[in-house]
Amino acid sequence: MRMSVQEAEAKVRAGAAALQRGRPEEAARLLGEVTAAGIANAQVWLLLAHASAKAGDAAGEEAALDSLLAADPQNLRGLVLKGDCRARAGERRAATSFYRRARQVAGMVGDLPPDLAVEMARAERALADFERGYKTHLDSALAERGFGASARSARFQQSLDILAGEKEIFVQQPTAYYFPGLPNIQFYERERFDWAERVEAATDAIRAELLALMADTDAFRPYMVADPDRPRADFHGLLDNPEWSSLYLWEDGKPVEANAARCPAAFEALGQAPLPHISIRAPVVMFSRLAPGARIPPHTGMLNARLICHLPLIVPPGCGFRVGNEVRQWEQGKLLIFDDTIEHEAWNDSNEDRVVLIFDIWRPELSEAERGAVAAMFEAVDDYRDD
Amino acid sequence: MIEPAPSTDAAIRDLLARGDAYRRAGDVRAATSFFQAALRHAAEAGSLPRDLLEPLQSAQAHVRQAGVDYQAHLERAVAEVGAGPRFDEAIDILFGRREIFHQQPSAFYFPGLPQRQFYEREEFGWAVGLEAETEAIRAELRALLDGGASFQPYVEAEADRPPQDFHGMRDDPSWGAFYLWKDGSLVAENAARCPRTVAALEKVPMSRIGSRTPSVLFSLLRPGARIPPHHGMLNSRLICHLPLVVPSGCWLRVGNETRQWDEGKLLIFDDSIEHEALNPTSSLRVILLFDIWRPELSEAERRGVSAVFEAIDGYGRASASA
Repeated sequence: MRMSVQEAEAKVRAGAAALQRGRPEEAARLLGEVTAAGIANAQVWLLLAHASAKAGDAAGEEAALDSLLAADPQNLRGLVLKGDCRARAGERRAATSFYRRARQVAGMVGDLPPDLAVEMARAERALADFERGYKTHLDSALAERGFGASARSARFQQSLDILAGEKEIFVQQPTAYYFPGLPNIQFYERERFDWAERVEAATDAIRAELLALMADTDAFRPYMVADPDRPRADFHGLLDNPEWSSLYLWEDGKPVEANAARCPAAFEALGQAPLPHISIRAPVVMFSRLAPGARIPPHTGMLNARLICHLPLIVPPGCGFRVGNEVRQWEQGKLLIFDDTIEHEAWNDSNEDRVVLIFDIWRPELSEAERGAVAAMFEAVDDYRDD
Repeated sequence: MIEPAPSTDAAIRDLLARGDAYRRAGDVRAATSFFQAALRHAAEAGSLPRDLLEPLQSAQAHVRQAGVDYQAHLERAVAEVGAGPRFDEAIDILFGRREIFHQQPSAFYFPGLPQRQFYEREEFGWAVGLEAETEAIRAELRALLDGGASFQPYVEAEADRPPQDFHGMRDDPSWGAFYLWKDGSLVAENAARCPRTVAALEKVPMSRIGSRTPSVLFSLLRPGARIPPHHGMLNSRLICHLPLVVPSGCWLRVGNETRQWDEGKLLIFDDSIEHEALNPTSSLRVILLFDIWRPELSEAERRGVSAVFEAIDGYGRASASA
């Protein structure tokens, strides 16, 4: 059917008038002639959808909206109305996808005219309602299928927390050296390492050595110490700050002889662990003291070829430790093993010192050849003086 | 020894002077770190007195040369190490020759899995058996192509969802698909035309995730077709390609690695890492595409992931019982 623009405009005006006079069937017929002629714009499709709805023709309304969205996928009113159609059909999931798209578009538009704001508010209510029901549904549906909370592996539970938006994804972000292809695991479980029990068994003896050392008030020094040969790069105010201090058993890849003599039990226990030997960088072994009220701000470590272990020795209540999206408490004598290239932070909100024995181990995923190669690379880095 | 407040002329002069002192003393690394600090402050300062330009240029030249020397030193040191592809990639990343890519699935992230771009076919016991069927599978594909079987656009509009264009690929026939399984169900009519292919897949640990997977299809890239960089939906499976018809010059990039399809040799990769493909030739490229469970997932985890998607797909549906 051929139709001039003037004819089309006349029909649209007549259709709008019919709609106003409460004759939606007539309006739908007139507007339908315009759309059938292939010269409808968004406004005409919307009017037709409106007329069809008033006339009780749900299919006609939805067909008009589909045509509208095909021509103008960002049409906010069209998206909300299409969502309403799906919601009425009981397809809440489909409805949600249209409301969500409307939310995106509204976000780009900024301030909405009042009538559209009303539509958008309705869409937001429907979304909130859907999202409230979603988590409950997921939990009960999983339980029905044999995956109640107690039947989930830790990482499967974490995938659900991430899906629900309750936890973030954290990845390795080493500051100096990235070894690819490794899993991003925040905490490794102590049960996974056969040497862990033997180290833990020495807790009391190591603690006694620590207490003897702490009687000597000068033994600890700030964890972060300025290097006079480098521009001063402060680490969140911790440089030269005694709030976070340490006493080294291994430093710069070598045992500290004076302290070794005073901590035979600690040295013996560490002989059980796969300490990495990486140039002058590892092993690093120290008693780490966090003063009352102190906080180590979020940061990431240097290289992901190793893991960090904490053997908690003095742990007042009120301390905490976060790696990625998981917070754990130190428990005296129980190892915490984690990937320090994933953002982590620690705090001591108590009135007493917290002390843990810190040491590093090779990542279990690295082959012997790869460990050797990483060590060789850092030796090359560190012997690059002035040749 | 406190560094002066940043972005002042005095601070820059001081850093340059200290860098020079270390340079004269022969400590290249210390000199470099002071010069780098001076250059950082200069970059933040905006306008600078003219007399600083020459010493800053000299500092820059020092930093650049130090970088070149340092890299050459490390390259020499690790040249003989030979610890395999992961270590080589680490070195490439260290020198900025390759970027780091992570899994970024668009719908569901399973944590704790290795961040690997390609898996090697030798890691999978079933791979040899499937590759041995290449000729038979290709013959069935040829019959489809010769018989005018209809390939549908790989990216199609969904009737019940807002129109969503995937980088201009929606309804684009240059990336075509002929499905044997689609969204978890066998396409009986198509499968009947490819009995050898269906049989060959029997020993493959195809993923079965609710009504999402497996999908098995002949994937066809027409001459000149490009699949733009994108991420897949979930990281609990891997994507496998059995190359069937591959004109020379086609490639697939996953993360920081680009490989060529080689007829009869499986490519296996994590599609939740950014990937793209190109057929720059003037002939068709066709592969058999299917998905498998990630080998790192336990049986219980596989069932768990499947239960998640059954639950998701059963929510908010008129026909859903739960």
